[in-house]
Amino acid sequence: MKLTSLIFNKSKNKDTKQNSSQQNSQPVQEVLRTLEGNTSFFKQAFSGSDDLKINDINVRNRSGILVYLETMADKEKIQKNILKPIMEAEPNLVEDVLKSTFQKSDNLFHAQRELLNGACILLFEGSKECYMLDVSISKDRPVQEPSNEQVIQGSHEGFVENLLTNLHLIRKALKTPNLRMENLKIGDQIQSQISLVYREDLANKELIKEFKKRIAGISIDYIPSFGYLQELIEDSTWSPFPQILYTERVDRVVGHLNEGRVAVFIEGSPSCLLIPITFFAFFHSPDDYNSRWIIGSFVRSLRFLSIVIAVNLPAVYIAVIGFHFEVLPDELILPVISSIRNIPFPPLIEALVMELTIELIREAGVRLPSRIGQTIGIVGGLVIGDAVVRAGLISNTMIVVVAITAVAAYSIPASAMSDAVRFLRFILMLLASTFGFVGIAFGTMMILSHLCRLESFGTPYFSPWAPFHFKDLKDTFIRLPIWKFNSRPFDARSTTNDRQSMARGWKFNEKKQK
Amino acid sequence: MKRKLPILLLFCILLTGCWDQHLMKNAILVQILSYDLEDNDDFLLGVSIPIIEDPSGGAQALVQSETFSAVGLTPRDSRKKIAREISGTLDTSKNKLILFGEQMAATDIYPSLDVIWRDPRNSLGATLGIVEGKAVDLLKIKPKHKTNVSEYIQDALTSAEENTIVPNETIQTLASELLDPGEDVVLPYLKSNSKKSAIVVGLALMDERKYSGNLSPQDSTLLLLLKDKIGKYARFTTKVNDEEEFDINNYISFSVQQLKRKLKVQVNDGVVSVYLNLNVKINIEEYPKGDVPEQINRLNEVLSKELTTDADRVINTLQQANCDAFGIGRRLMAFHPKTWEMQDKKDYFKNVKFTTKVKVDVISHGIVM
Repeated sequence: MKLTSLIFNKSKNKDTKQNSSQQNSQPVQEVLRTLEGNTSFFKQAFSGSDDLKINDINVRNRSGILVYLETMADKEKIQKNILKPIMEAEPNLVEDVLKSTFQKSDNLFHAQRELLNGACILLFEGSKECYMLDVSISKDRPVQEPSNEQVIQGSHEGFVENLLTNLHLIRKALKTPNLRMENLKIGDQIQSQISLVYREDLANKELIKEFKKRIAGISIDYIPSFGYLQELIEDSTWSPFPQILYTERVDRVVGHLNEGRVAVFIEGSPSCLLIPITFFAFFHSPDDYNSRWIIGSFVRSLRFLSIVIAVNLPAVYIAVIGFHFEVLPDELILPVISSIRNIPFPPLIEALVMELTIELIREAGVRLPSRIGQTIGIVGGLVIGDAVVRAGLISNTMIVVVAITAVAAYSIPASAMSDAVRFLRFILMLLASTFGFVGIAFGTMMILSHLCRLESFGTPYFSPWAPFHFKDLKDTFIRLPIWKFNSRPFDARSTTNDRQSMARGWKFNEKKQK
Repeated sequence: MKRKLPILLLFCILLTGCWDQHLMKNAILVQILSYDLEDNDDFLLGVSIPIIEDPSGGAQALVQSETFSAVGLTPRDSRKKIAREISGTLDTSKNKLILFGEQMAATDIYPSLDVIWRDPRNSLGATLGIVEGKAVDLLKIKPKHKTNVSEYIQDALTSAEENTIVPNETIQTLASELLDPGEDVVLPYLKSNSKKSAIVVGLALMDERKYSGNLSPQDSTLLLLLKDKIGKYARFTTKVNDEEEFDINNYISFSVQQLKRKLKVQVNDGVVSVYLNLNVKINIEEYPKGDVPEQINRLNEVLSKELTTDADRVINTLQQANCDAFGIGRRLMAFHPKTWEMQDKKDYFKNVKFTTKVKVDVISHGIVM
């Protein structure tokens, strides 16, 4: 693994050099004097694509052309926002109308980029500049609750595919001038826009510098979605654990921004990446904060129990029936023996068959339309589960173990973490089937040491457990009452640590008066 | 070769563990072991294994048991012979009971236990017991209400432990006491009731490693109280009156609520004397004659006297059996080493002078006024 990462590092260094040289030279093409020249420039740029429309217009004896992409621009908007004001304006005021509503540029490549974003370009004979106005068709999905991260109580807003809408949602929720948004562009051939959102007064400057450095170092033709970006900027891609949290929930992002973390949006993706993140953040849900703290703590600790079960239970079961069944209590051993006595497979095969079946049912269910999905659930869950026991292929106890494991794995709120857990389970099962409890102990040790070594943008991934921060445990395994959260978590490395001083001042004052 | 190397390495790492695999489905669990000595001094090993009937209709499996026995030179030798008779590998890791026949126990129980302590897979949570007559016969009983013999006997012993008839001991806790020259063990004493059921008939007293006598259940309870090892309940029934016409009215039943024991070992001119004081607070559970509060002083007196006599009798029996259940020798070794050196290491217990006093206090008498 070291060798491969070494090679990767080398090639990365080369790429950054190339990339930086490319970015410095932005192509410039001045607006041509003749309309024909400009027309042919656009036709050439879009290689005569049929949706490129170039209309001749004549305003007060000045001839010009109107360029737009039929597939990106809204014709009604062109009529209403461009043609109508120009035609109706007083002859001497045309220039003013143009200046007040249009963006100006003398670079045709700039105009070309804007065309792709849905702008309409206006060019006049003999003019050195072109005018651009955004008239893009907006076909946005309405803001609704993301189906993959639902909550019982709290806000039901979720991000959509439109970057501006997403930023609007954040700005609306965090009304402070300190909220800063920075737009960056990545992609060598096709550029995508990403937006960096953070609280200027909280976010760690070094972290932002590091992030920008990594973004600048990316050299890729095109970034279609957040998955690409995540893999290009995360610390170690060889780990099964996600080091960047992505979420579609507004309240979740707002909460993390308030702790001094940085959110990254990508145009066209409803997911927001949050950095830096810790292992434990993947087990938190907005529901924890909206329910009473005792219940929130209980539910949260259940989730931590569920990861232990999901990773270890099948492995422990294999180790018990394959190596050390002495650990079973007297009352339990005979029922277990009676169920596994006539199973033809060794325990590992038995477990693998069932675990893989569950994974297959899940995979089939995800891709299918919901009505067929239900059928698959019934066929997979009931028919296979029951029939396989009756046929004597798999034991009853194994079905129980696999079912508990599956339920536990899916109770982890972040799907990326749930995937990691389901994957690790197979490694531990393999170790358990060859070494028994010793294998599980070593496997768990390796996983834990790996977690302790991981970093997310310079923040220890396993914080606040390793390195240990007692104060931050208040919002890790349990959730203490809100008025206990007087300091922000250490792992976000925010610049100001104090959040509040006396959240329940009235209580304090009452006591004082007495 | 270069391509095969990683695969070979992976095999070396992953398959080495299979050597230690010990599949549960191939194991035949042994639930009781019995050691007997035949009349011609041959060693007889008996094992009871569970027979699991397939559950019909998804309910819990019905568990019965079967007994195998074989004559051999040693326990291992006999076990080898039984293993040839059984499909699968015999596994003693979930063994619950080790029973000795009276004849076997009267010689020496230690040699046959050696294999249990030596093999790491053996269960150290098993209990020891001594059976009147032959132990293997107890495995062959067919109790109607519980089809699995080992479970049945185990439950009987557990309830005897709760009722302070037998001590709560396993072979792990017994090991040091068995080897200690200054202390002797007492073991549950069982007998089979006309091949149908097993009864715990009290305690078997051991002289070092040999069986040398026994106690009745009520005396066993008293001995355990004197040893300060009370279970959940400790119940007695004693005669306190003579004059009643209807015999049932002469008796009283009570249970011990609180217990305070003092054991003092004193040495005077090489004579070891032990002062054993027992303070029990009791709850009267049954006294048909009636009014307890009125007779409370008399009852305290009579019961104290009665229990003191009983205790003397128990200690007398112990001394006859040469069973140092109190660990007097251990105390001598610790506090009076010079006296211990002068003592006869084998029969020292017979010469110990006991002064026993039991004081009974009635603290409650149920909800009858």
